[in-house]
Amino acid sequence: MVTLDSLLLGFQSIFASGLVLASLYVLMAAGLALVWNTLGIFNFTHGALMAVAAYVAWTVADPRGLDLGLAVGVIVAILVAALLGLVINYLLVAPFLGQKQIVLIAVMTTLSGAFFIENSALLIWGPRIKQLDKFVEGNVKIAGTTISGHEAVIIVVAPLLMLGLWAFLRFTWTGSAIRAVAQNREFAELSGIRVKRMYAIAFAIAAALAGFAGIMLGAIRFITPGLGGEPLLKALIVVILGGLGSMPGTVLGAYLVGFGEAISTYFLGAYWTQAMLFLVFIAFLVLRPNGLLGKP
Amino acid sequence: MEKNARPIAVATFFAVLLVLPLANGDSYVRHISIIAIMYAVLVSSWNITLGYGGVFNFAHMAFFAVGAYATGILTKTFGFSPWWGMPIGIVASVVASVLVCLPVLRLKGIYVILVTFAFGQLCLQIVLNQRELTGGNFGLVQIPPLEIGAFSFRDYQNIGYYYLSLAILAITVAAVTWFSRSRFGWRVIALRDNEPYAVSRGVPLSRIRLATFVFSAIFPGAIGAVYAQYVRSASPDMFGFSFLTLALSMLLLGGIGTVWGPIAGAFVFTILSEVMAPLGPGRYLVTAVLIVLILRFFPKGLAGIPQFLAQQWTRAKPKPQPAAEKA
Amino acid sequence: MSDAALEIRSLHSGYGRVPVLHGISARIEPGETVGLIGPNGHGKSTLFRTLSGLLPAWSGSVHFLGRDITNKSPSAIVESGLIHVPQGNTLFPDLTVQENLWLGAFAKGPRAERRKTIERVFSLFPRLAERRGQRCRTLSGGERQMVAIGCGLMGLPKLLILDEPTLGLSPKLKMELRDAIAAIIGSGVQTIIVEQDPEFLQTLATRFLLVSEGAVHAEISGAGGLEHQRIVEMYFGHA
Repeated sequence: MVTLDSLLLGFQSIFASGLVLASLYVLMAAGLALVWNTLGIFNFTHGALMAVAAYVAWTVADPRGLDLGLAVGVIVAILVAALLGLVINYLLVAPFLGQKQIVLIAVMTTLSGAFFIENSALLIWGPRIKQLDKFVEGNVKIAGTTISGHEAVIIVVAPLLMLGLWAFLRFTWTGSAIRAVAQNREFAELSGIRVKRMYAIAFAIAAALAGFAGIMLGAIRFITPGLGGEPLLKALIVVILGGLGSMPGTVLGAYLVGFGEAISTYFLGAYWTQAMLFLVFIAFLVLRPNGLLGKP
Repeated sequence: MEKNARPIAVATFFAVLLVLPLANGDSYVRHISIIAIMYAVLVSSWNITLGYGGVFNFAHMAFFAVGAYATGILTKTFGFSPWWGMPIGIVASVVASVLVCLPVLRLKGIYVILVTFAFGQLCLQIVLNQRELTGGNFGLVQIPPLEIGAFSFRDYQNIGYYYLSLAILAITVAAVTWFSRSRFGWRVIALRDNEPYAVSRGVPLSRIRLATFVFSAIFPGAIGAVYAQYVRSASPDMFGFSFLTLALSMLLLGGIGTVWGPIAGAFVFTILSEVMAPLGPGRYLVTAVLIVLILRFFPKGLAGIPQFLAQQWTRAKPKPQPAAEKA
Repeated sequence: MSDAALEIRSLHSGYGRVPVLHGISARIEPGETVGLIGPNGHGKSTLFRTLSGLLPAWSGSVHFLGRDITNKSPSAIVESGLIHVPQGNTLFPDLTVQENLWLGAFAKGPRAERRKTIERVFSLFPRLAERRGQRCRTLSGGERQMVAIGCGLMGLPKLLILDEPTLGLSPKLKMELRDAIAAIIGSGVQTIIVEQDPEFLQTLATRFLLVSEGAVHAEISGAGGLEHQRIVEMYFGHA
């Protein structure tokens, strides 16, 4: 018999795992959304960037690597991810911008880029599975459920990072220029904004965000070249559910998917949840192609 | 190309493939030829939706995998005769294409990519879930092969599978050629080039698009069935990124929207990746770089090279500046 | 010979491979206000898109205040003080009026002066001051046009190009806008104005150029008042 206690317990565990998942999805999707909003393309190297950042952080931080400590590892990895983002933009995106089929072309070039990066990672770091240290040891109790300290960090950091991103886009010259470029490229150029530079900056920031998400993941999952594959798909779903072109929508989408997944996992089990997610996603696209907060 | 050159080239192409097994009995060469032929079928039928239709259909490889799994499951677990394999594969693939096409009818651009892509992932999740039926992560193994009496299609270095695949390729080429010249094909191309105008002139968008999907799905279904029976297994990798990227690069290399480009692309690429086999994962790096270079410098692929050369030839006149907007 | 404000020498340009400008030449002296008229689709907007670096020049040259700006980047051209307010009041629709104006002063020099400049813009268009926090998407056509011109002014132009500022506006708004443009010219900003309606330009411009079929087809100069009749003749004689 289902008692009130067990229901409450179930609710608590759903809430905790939903919150962790949702925060992870915020981290994964933010960069993807930024690039889509600014450049109008989907960057399929986003997942590969997560993997690379996790590997770099591991190499710098781990005693079997350079052994410089986790903090240095995180900083170096984020910088490497941002730099790699610049290179990706320069080689795979910028030369094709302005073409009619840019959306499709960018899917193909960035897919190739992801293929390249993941196989390079395999060549460089080998097939042996690695894992990063957790940011914080120990456990934290929230809403009656115990989660790891690392997960608590994710829950706190994800909204803070989004707040920071929002403030950057809202209050700085560069941030405003990035929004301006997204809305009207030609008028931006006539205002003296260097459009290509703004694209590059947006891409680098997005890559850094991907890198950070990868590092966070690298401590709770095993680091493999394919580390970012599933997160990339989740991020795509989140960005589209939230509505293309809307940053608040992306955050909303992340929390919806996170909690939805937690609820579905609790009642249907982990296996069916993934299938459900894709099914709901397809249905959603058909019924409301502009997303929750998207503009038509 | 000269008017008479094309039929001669086509005849030579198939003649060479027909006599190849007589000239070379090496099992490795046989395997590569079969795989190349199968890729050629897959890529040139993908071209129907992606190239001629202009619909960013990323589910085509999933149709192939669905065909293979359906064949495998029904012939292995449910005792259907292997000879039902191909019809099963075709039906499964066509049903899958209808399922994908229904949401796609209402969508455009990036959303089509995402839905078709999500469809493949959905299939993958189902395959992974239904372990008893599909073998889950490890794939479906020991799929019954094709046999006629005592003759197995595996005999003489798989000669049966070789000719069966070649026959399917011939049918595919014939079908795509017919398609590109038929009224049906013109309507598809009209929708690609100017949808509002085509619709206003009475081309029924939904019906044509559905027909395009169904038509293009027949071939991956058929070859998926034969593939499953040939390698006697179906694996979840068939839904994966790498496989999709590989097929896509063949299509791009060959040239989207032409009959022979994708076939040339499939053969060149299969041979190329065999040549590069000693590089290990390094060959994927080469593949990736190649795709980007093609997109950048030869957007029309191999099929565009004759035209490109012709352009170089007639470059006597000064031309206006590049087409792309200076940014 | 002293430098012209703007000197265009046999400029060729177009979209893709379709030529639109067929060797257009024009010389604009410092201090004069030029009105550009001519039928639609004959290269006026293409000319400005080429001048401001949005389109590459196929051949020919553009000199601005004695400096060669042919095929320079749009941002470099804006920084040199040649500012083009495009047709059809396309702004940043989801940014506020104030944000739009700030971004008009994106270049280093204007950015330092932005607080002073924005006060001038607000005194010219008091309505914008009232709506400074409003998103441009929600503005009326006339207000958007004011924002567009305001953005141009924020960049501290040495030469301001207004491409059909009155497109789609009511006669009353047109009159208002004319007064504002007269004030801008009066404050010493050299201006080129494109118009379909020669009457609108009559009191503003000191010289008229007729652009048709991708070249300058005629010009009339005269101090101040131009006879309406002559403009109409010029317009229809060549259209």
